[in-house]
Amino acid sequence: MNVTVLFFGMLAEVTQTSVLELNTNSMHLTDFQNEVLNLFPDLKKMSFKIAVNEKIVEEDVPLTAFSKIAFLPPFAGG
Amino acid sequence: MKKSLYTGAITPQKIADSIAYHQTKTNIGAHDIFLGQVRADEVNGKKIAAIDYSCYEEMAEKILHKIREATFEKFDLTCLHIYHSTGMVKAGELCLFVFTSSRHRKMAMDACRFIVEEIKLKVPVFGKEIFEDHTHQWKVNT
Repeated sequence: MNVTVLFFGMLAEVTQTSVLELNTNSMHLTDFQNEVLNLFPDLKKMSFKIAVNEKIVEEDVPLTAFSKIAFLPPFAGG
Repeated sequence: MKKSLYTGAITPQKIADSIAYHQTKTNIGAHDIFLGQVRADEVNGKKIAAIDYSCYEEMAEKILHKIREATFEKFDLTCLHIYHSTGMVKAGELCLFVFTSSRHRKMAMDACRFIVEEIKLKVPVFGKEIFEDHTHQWKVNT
């Protein structure tokens, strides 16, 4: 299936893209995250949180073709 | 949904207008205001000239809306306004404006502090600190 991946801030600088359509066989977030990290090994040394469909996710949730997966660097609001 | 993200620096005029607008709401007895300002920090002898704010817009608006709702639930407020800049804000300019109003001071003050802490913690906003020599580094909240 195809999922949408978003990168922000310093992460987008490392991946040199802010949005990506990825064809994946991963059915769960952890597998998918590893796939992305293998694609962009420099991300492995960076700190980030993941949001699925605009919600921060810490568990290994299942993915669907409608999943929008965002890699978020440390927040700097205020 | 009320929008909280604001393009560019928040002007002192906008804040003054906002205060003036509340003078007709005579059930208010106390306002509290928090203003975030961009600091010209020096890092390794280089000075920060501006912060270029970017964000995950849909998620940021959603979370700011949730913070609004949580604040109204927790505190007895009459009025609440939150504005956070996106894009370029120069050192000395304002990037965050939180304005709480209530009948008495305690609610307005407690709510204002609560909102600012929630914003720092939960809203996906990213800050590219631009130095005077046009190099940059990324801001991380402490």
